[in-house]
Amino acid sequence: MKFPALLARASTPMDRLVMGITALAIVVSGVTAHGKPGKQAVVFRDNRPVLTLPLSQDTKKELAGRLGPVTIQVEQGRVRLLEYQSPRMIGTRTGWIQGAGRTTACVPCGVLVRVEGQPENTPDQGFDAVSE
Amino acid sequence: MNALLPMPRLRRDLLIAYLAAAAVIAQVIEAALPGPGPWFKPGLANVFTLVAFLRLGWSAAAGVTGLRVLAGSLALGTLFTPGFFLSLAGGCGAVAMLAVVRFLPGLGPVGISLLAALAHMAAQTAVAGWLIIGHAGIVALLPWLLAGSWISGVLNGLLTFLILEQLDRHRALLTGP
Repeated sequence: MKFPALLARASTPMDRLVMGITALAIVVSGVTAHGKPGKQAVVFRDNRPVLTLPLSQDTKKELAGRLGPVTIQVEQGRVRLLEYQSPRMIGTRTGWIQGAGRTTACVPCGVLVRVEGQPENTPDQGFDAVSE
Repeated sequence: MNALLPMPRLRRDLLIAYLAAAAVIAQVIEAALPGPGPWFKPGLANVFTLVAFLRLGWSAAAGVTGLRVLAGSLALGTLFTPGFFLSLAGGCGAVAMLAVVRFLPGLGPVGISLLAALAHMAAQTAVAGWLIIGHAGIVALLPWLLAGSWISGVLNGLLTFLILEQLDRHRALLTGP
């Protein structure tokens, strides 16, 4: 049986309404989440900012995650997270990110990388609302 | 499609146990296979929770989920690790959504599965952000995570529909002693 026919047979009008509304909400939130190109990457370990890396300088840093070492690599204005001991390797498989507001994380490692958009020499304005 | 079946208590409990065992097997197999992408996890174990919900009721779905999270963690060796708490949070989110959809008329397996999958992912992200990563910035990942959950929710809903079609012909689900 072809997929559209199966979907038509298996779903109710209410199901299709829910599918449409949720798909639209996800697309809209995904589009609005895309920011301008970032200026720096802030690396968090257990809610503490432990590294700030300008995206204009290619570099590679290693820090200790909960499950082992985690590498943060900056190259050509992008940043990526490389974990080695994570069950699903979501951080590594996310690949490079560069837009302001984009995030990559290895949850089991307790490491999160967030691209910030503000100029490199201004104080960070983004952490006042974060609760421990 | 959404008709709860009256049946003897023992048969109901046995069906819950069978569905929980099937869910654990699905979880263990899925954990051993390479995932299709960073934001997409099929979550086949949830199909059995949905079958329990649609044929045995909300409490049975909660039972299958609880057993699956606990036994699945024991089988995978992840009990009380961050992965366990993420799994527990996702299961609680999905079961909470199932409690809500009981009062939404007109929803079939696909819609119920989709809403439960989104609730599962939202709860996991919340717990990851506040308890494990400790930073609310992980919410920025939510659109991508939810997109993966949307796809898996629809696919699991279709799979649930097909399983129910077969299962409804089985004498274990026929009413009566």
